[in-house]
Amino acid sequence: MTPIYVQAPALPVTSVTVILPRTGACLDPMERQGLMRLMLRLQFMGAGGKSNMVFNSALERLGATLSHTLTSDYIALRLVTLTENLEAALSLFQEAIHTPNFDAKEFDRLKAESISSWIAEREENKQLRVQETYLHRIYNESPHGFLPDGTLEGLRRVTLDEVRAHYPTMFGWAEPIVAVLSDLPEPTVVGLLTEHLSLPQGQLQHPRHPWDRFAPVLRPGRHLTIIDDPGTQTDEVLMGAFSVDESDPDWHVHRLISLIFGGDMNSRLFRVLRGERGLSYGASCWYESTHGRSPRNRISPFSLYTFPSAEHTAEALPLMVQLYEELVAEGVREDELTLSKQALINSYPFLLDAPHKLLSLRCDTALYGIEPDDEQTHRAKISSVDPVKIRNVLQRTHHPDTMTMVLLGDAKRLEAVAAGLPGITSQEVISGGLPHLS
Amino acid sequence: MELVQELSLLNTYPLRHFRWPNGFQAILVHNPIAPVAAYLSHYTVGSALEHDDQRGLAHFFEHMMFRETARLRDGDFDRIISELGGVGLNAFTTYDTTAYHVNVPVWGLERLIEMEADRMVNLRLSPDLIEKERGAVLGEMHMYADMPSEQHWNALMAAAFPAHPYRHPIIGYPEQVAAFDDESFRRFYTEHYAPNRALVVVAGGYDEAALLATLDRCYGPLPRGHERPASRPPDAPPAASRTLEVFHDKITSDYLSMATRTPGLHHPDQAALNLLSSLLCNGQSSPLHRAIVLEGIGTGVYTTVMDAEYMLSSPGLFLIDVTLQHGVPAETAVEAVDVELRTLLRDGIAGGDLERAMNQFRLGTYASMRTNMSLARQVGGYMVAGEDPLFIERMLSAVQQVTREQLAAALETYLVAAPRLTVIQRPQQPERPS
Repeated sequence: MTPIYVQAPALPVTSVTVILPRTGACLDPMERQGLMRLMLRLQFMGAGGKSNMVFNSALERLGATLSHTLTSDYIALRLVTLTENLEAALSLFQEAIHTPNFDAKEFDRLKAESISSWIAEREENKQLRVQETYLHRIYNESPHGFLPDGTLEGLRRVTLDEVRAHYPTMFGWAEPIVAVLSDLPEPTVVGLLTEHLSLPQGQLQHPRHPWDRFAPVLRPGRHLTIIDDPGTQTDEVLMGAFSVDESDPDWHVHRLISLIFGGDMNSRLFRVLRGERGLSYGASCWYESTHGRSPRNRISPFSLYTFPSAEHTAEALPLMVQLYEELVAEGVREDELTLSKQALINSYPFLLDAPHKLLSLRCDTALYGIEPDDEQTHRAKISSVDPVKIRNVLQRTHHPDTMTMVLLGDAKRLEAVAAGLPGITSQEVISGGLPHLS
Repeated sequence: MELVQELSLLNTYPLRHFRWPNGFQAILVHNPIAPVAAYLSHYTVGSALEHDDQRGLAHFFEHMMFRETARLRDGDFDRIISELGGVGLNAFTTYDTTAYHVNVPVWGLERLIEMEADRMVNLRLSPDLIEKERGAVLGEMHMYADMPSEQHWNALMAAAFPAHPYRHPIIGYPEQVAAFDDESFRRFYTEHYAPNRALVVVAGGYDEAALLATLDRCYGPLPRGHERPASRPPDAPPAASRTLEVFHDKITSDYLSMATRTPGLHHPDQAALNLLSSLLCNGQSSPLHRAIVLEGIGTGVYTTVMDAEYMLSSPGLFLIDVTLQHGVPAETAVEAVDVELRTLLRDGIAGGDLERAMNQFRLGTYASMRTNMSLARQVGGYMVAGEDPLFIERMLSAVQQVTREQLAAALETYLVAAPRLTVIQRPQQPERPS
């Protein structure tokens, strides 16, 4: 076994991460969104014939934890442990990967808990509700446009038999990647991994992943969805369109665009909406791939977001659209570009200022084949960008007339606000009330 | 300046603590992994020092610190930080402190320090900029108002500290925030922003001689300001347990907090309380997780010893929070928690549970020190609240010395016998037709 290894000598802690590329929540059947998340959680609730309590008691006494990361296109299973107990913790990790119990009682409890948590998270966090509606709409209701925690309907439908049947689908898509952060020397870690952790190998069984079939649907016009949630003091505004993927040769130009328009406190969106007008506490933009909501090597939506106080939405919404239209039509000013170039060039060391960041970069390369630039190349690429290049890239890859827009707030008021927006070609109002569980 | 102490954090990071004649203090934590540094400025003023007509002013003032000074126009501060390649520029206000933080490449430290020292004494507070920032602050208030957890938290603090400033929301009240004028800000600035009210923590790969020279040049000459007013004495501990219900129209399940008073950061029982928190709730095999989550009563249960991490220097709270399963009333969780606590007290604490609690506490402590900024926050937070830059390390050591008997005594004193405040947030009941 040859793991990706980064030494972290400062603290007596080791993490071992098993990454399964080309898997992820996108493998959930359309009617069972949330299945993979449930399965991964259940996987750590008893293994090797040990009950949940026996298994986790043994693990936790070692000063160890198991967790997972689930995105649309990969799974990462992670052990973090006090290094002095690495050997024993690895044995338990191995059991959880290979022989999870998938116990019926634990499943019933976990399913009820997951449904309850799914609702509570959305009651607390309106942005989550806007985000998932936005993804559903922009991905045209395809399997690519779901958050990994699934849908309420999907969670309700999942059965234990389906979880058990889904488990093998984690493997066979690509060779697993093992990533280690440890205070131990590399040969010691490799020796322990070789002895205590084996992973499914052999012939790959699944040549085509759902993301291989992905082609963005660009629906001309502006498509508006209003989530009706009366009585809230702030509205949510999220809009965008497909733009580019991170393997694009001009990706560094896109990073500059994102920074200039909505990346920090100097950006146009933040400066105008908050600094100059006081309309919202925040305003920003991003490429969804940089937030882990779409694979880095697939074309990703470019999204604009703000959450104005309800009385300011009538001013903030059209202003945000206008600022975006101006950006794409006119490009950026020399002074904005100079500042952002300095920011990106000078912040380079922060990619590498902690061992876990180094590890993360190397895992990203293994997952997506996108090599990070060294500092000189990074500097040269960023320095070479001029306003003409920015405008060309903007006009080629940004489409303010073809946008998916999602608003959350009082529908009657928001419909009146939206009536003033030009170019709306379709409009719908959906209920914002969260479903009851009765 | 004088070197106050020279230490080593976790036998890994050299740490030096300096003090200037004007009262300014700096702690330097050397971590040469990369040519970058985290810079954290703590001021010893939070919402608890506000007067009755100033509720929310400490937080609003924090926003104004990013605006204009005699030397920098509005927007220059943010712009220069970007030019330097700074990342993570932000600030936060707590009950007892206000902190400003950013990461910069080490070659940018000199410029950053010049700007930080400048805004400590040269801030310009024009009515025009106050008005612009007011919109953002009110927007932030509206954002929090939409979050059920915020309403619950405010109700909890108001009930837990009925006669102490902790009862007021840090962000204040809309009617007061709408009325602060430039004079309010000037008075607050004079009262609370000065070198003797500041502690700077720098963690990273700096050159110490150059860094000290810049700190000395920029902060050294600044005039000493007002001393920190004495904190209000804490409320007397409640004489009896009580339960408070609050309602929210955007939730469908109950949320429960059970709070008991703890003696604060410096009390000898603090280590036992931290270990008790880890014992009760850290891990799927922990007693409260078993009793609440595995029994299908709640979707999560959490314990928190509220101390310096939250800047509550004294007194503190021990919190047990439960998110209820849909349809399960909070009272079911209260009963389950009580049964579990009494069973632990009666049957004793098993060796395996003690081992789990200690090892999970160690793991959590190490996890809180992974970056320069997290190192700076741990050192700075405990220095401000506990006057000990190695507090976190000493706590780690103290926790490992706690005996089963001390743990049981803490359980009885603070969780079983102590009067308890129970706050239950419930879904808004539909109005009955009159």
